[in-house]
Amino acid sequence: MPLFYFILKDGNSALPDRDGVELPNARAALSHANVIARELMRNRERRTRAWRLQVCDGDLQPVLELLFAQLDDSLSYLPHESRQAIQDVCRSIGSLSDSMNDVRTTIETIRATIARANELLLDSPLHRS
Amino acid sequence: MDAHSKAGPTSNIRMRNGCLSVLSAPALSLLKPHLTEVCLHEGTILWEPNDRTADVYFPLSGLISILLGMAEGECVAVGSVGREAVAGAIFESGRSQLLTRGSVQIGGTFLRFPGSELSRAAQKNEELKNLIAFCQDWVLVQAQQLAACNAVHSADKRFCRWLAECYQRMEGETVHVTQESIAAVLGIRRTTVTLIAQKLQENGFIQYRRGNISIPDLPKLQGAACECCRTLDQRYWPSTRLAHKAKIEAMMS
Repeated sequence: MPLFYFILKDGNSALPDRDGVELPNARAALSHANVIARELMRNRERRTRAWRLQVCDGDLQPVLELLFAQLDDSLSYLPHESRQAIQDVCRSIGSLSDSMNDVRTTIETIRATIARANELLLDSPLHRS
Repeated sequence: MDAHSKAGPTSNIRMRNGCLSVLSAPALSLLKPHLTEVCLHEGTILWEPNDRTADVYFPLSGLISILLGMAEGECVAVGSVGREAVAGAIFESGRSQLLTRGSVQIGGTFLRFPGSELSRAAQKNEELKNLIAFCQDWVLVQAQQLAACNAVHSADKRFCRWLAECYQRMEGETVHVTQESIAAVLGIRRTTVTLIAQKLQENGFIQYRRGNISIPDLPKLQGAACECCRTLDQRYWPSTRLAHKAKIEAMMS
């Protein structure tokens, strides 16, 4: 059976399930993701609406992504348009967090590169002389 | 069933189980001849529903879960017992149907004692009668608290509560437990447990390595747990209540 990985994106980081789960197909993976997202969201729906659960295949290639707001039953009393608007806002928050995390990662990479360059410069014969 | 057993308890059993440590010498002498030390692995079934003849277990290390099975095979924990108490089917007595199953949640060393013998000994000794009553209360209060907890608290807070309780009852040892086992106790999927554990690890609440969970800062973990963590505290432990009772009786005499 193929292996699927589930990665939780909570706005601060991407948390992977490193073991993965063997499931018959992508449909079963979506069903499993639905259950996991509901378990993670239950009794804290408002705080987790912008969270997403990404499903990846055995090669860690993304297959699909679930937005928690789509599964939030506590919004079911609202008219369709309002629910849709909340989902759109949550999706935008998710995209913004992804972009901020990307920027953070880039800054960390740049800092590491500068530190390494400084070390090399200090070690160079030019500096020692 | 036993990975290892030997007849007769070791000399320092008093120090290793909270209830045994507070029993008087006469009460303990009624138990000693029938106590057998056993090492049990995670997943060992100790009693099945309606098993009235089952033995009782005094944990010296490890943890026993009291589980309720559902028709589709799922089991959810309705209580757990560590060194603060004694576990066994007889602590559900008074009911016509015994619904629960006892299972070793965290492997360790336990003292096995015949359940029927404990009931007989309790008829002769007030302290042992109290021991049974306090353990019955402990099972009941946990079931009540967990029913409310499961209904209104989120999975991450319940996970923190369970872990903090384990850590307190095991007196600061590293908790050796699989994620599958935690998932079964909390009634959630293994993937959910893994993702919650990752988040807790990232935030410095736990350190998880190869099935061993260590807790660098217990108050911090308790702060992340649901309120049940503070409600079900040591005041309800049978060992604490026995010690309190003994103290009052000593003052009265």
